[in-house]
Amino acid sequence: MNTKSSVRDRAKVALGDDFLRGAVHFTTDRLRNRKQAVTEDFGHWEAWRDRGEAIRRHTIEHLDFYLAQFADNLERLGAHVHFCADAREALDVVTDIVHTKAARRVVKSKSMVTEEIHLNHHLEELGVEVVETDLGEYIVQLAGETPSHIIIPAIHKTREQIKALFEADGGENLTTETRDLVAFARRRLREMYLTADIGITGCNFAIADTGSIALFTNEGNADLVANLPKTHIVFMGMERILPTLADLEVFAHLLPKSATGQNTITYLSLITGPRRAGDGDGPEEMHVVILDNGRSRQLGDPDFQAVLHCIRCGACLNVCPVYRQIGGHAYGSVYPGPIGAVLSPLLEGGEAYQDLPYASSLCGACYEACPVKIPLHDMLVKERQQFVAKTGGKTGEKAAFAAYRVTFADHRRYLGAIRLARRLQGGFAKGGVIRAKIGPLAGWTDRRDFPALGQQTFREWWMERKRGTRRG
Amino acid sequence: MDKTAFLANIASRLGRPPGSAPGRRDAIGVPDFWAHRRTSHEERVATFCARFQALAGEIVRCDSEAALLAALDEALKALNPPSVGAWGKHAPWPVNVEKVLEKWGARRFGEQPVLDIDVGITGASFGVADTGTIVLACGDAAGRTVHQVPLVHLVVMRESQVVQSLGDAMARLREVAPIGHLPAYVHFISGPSRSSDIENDQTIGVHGPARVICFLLQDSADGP
Amino acid sequence: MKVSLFVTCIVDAAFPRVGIATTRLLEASGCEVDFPIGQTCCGQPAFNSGYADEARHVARTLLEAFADADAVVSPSGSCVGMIRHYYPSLFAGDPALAQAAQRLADKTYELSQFLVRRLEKVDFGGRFPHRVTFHPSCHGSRLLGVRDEPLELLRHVRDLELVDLPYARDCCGFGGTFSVKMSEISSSMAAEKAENVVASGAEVLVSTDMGCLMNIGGTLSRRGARVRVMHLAELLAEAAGLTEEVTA
Repeated sequence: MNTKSSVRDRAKVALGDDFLRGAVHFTTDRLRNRKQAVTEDFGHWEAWRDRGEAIRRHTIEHLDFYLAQFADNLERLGAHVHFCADAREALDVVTDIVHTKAARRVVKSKSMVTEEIHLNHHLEELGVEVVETDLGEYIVQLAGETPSHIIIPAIHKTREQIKALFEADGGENLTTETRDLVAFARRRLREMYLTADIGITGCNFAIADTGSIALFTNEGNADLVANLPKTHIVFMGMERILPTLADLEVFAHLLPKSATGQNTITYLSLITGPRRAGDGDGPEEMHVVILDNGRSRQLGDPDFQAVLHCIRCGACLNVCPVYRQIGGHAYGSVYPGPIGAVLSPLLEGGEAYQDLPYASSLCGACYEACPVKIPLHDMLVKERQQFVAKTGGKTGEKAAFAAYRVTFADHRRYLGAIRLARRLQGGFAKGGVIRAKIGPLAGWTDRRDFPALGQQTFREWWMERKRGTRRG
Repeated sequence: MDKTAFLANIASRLGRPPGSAPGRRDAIGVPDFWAHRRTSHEERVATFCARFQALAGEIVRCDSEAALLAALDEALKALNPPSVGAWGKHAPWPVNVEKVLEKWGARRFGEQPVLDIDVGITGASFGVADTGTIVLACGDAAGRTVHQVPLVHLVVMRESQVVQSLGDAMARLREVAPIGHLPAYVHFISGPSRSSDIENDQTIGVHGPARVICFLLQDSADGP
Repeated sequence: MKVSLFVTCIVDAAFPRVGIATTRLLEASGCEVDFPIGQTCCGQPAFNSGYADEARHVARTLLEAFADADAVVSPSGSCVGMIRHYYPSLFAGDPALAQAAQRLADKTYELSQFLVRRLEKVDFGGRFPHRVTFHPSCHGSRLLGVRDEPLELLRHVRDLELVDLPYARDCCGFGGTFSVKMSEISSSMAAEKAENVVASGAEVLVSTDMGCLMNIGGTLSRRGARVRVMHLAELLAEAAGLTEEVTA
């Protein structure tokens, strides 16, 4: 991932891309308007959020128990369950399966976890052809890019660009009509399903008491990926668990309504192990790869454990005013938007992504949109505090806040500083505003006026008034 | 990583001995106001039809088995597909449509290949009113691919199979399946396959069927 | 009723007229207003940048200044949000200070919240014959839950025409130090907000936080847009004729 440049640098590039900003505005507007309409129609939305949060909180608090129950149930049904501490272990599991099956081609449906461990790259290194089948992911893959939105990966692509990508993949006489492009993708990808050795899917929810995997899709690609090849591999973050099938009903409402404003998802597939004796179709072999990859570090941490409640709906992206300006790629991480700004540094645990928590105005729209009420805005502040505690802060900023600490802790020094600033602004202040690009103000005054300090502070007015030198 | 160590690490982070069972939990499944709704058979069926149609699913309501057979035959005439596939004879068909299947020479799952069929005909286990969903519990002769691969999916169902909520359907699935032995594949389908991945332009028939037509036989809530 | 004014550092230093209007409104409501001189800043600039220790150090000025106050009122949803939402945990490490922080959090109100909920005073009389649009500050509305109170006050001003602000609830991009640290993103957000203000057709933009208003107002003035930017307190005081002596 692009971690050498800063989020600020990447944002500057994105801010100059008018098509991208237009597409992001259009898409996020549509998604959030639809969400608003569907939740109003559904009613009791806050009660549903409370319930969603309560279930997720309970599940994560007892994650070891529910994970064990889930794995035991699945293993009884003949599936292979793999517990992986990090990306390396998960990729090794895949390598083994690929070698055992002598696999040449893999079809995939959308899975953020596989993006997290860079699975496609690994498979390609093994000489395996990987085909993404979600239409948006397929487009992004043909373009050699990464998704820019959790739910709508190709948000940044025009139909002309898509047509060109499909032509390069063998499409002939295509127009830019959606129907035409989709028909090509259907034909092309159908060949892939039928000839693939392995199908790889993610997992929206894993049900502990039945040993089931629940997949949510609109296109139906995950069902073909899971059922046509002989081997099905499921990738899941270890936090994807729900205790019971009854709990799934709550999330069958919360997830599609939050993600796209759909009342219901088109396809909810409940997969409980590989095909049974007597079944005429379905995979003969099923593997479930359960990944930690930095997640367990958040457990027991009162500030961050709740980040594991996330159900990856993307609602926080759609309301985020920062995402709205810069889109997904500027975050430079697998997970974009507010959830990405919180989650990426936590999962990574090192130096990378430490500037992401600063890419937020802390407006709280993400928390308000979150179907399981994760306090993302508070977590962003906590991450900034951790950064400062660990590194001491950036030099200039550190000095500024050291000065702030001394000056603002005493009202006399504070007033003295204001009076000094009033003298210093001198010639820069014209008509009550400052337009000059001076010092740390330069970023502000580039496109905005900054208020100049007036003749008198409020406290000076107050003291005068108290002394009776001014009536009022 | 070994399973025991993986789970022990989680337990230790959570500050508990590994494997300790959770205590009683208050919030299980949907809120009470949702679970305790009372609806009539007529309301459920009407809601199911309205929701399913709102999702671009099609409903053909039939007042007798004969009418349903005729409607199914008519639909096939209109589609005039090169190839038709259907669940096997011993699948849990809610309505006996063998005559129409024979007439159209439907390839039967388990006996003939169905991966290249144009129209797939199946039954269903439930309809769900809240979401306009048909639920297919697959297995044995009720193959998964019959409804996944074709461009058109025709499904026959009785009104008495319509339940109010997804939870009702899931509870019924659990009742008939011994613990841990749900069918390997249960599909909840709400209308045709759709995508908005190209410039937000919604389109249908991406990977799954572009049309889903439900032939719904009128009967009482007491069932057949 | 005795009320202590927490004027906020932004208003104190750059927008004293907002503090004066706030004082006059409270006095017109029958309150006895006090301004404890020891107050400086709520600590939010440091807190939101990750400097909790510096924030704590500065925030103590408020714990001390308002220790004896019955009620604290401030013309800022953001600063009150900081006190109510974050002070108890900010001082959690010291039981005595934590207790003081909780007491302050419990008795601190944003101005419109105090007027409408505590005093139940929604009409200050007077008229304001202008087309006005309202920007809800994120911290005021989301952190503090002050949503309808400012509108309730505006609805009682005669001849005031309230028009919808498109995308009203979207952040203006201020975000304290965010506006400098991520100035390109911030000014891009401010630009969109300013465009929406202009599109609303309003002559006056009103809000409950000077942070938002100096950001949106600075963008509007740079673009030469003829929209007057006012704090809610200024608008109410001007309509009620409480401001004639303000101009110094």
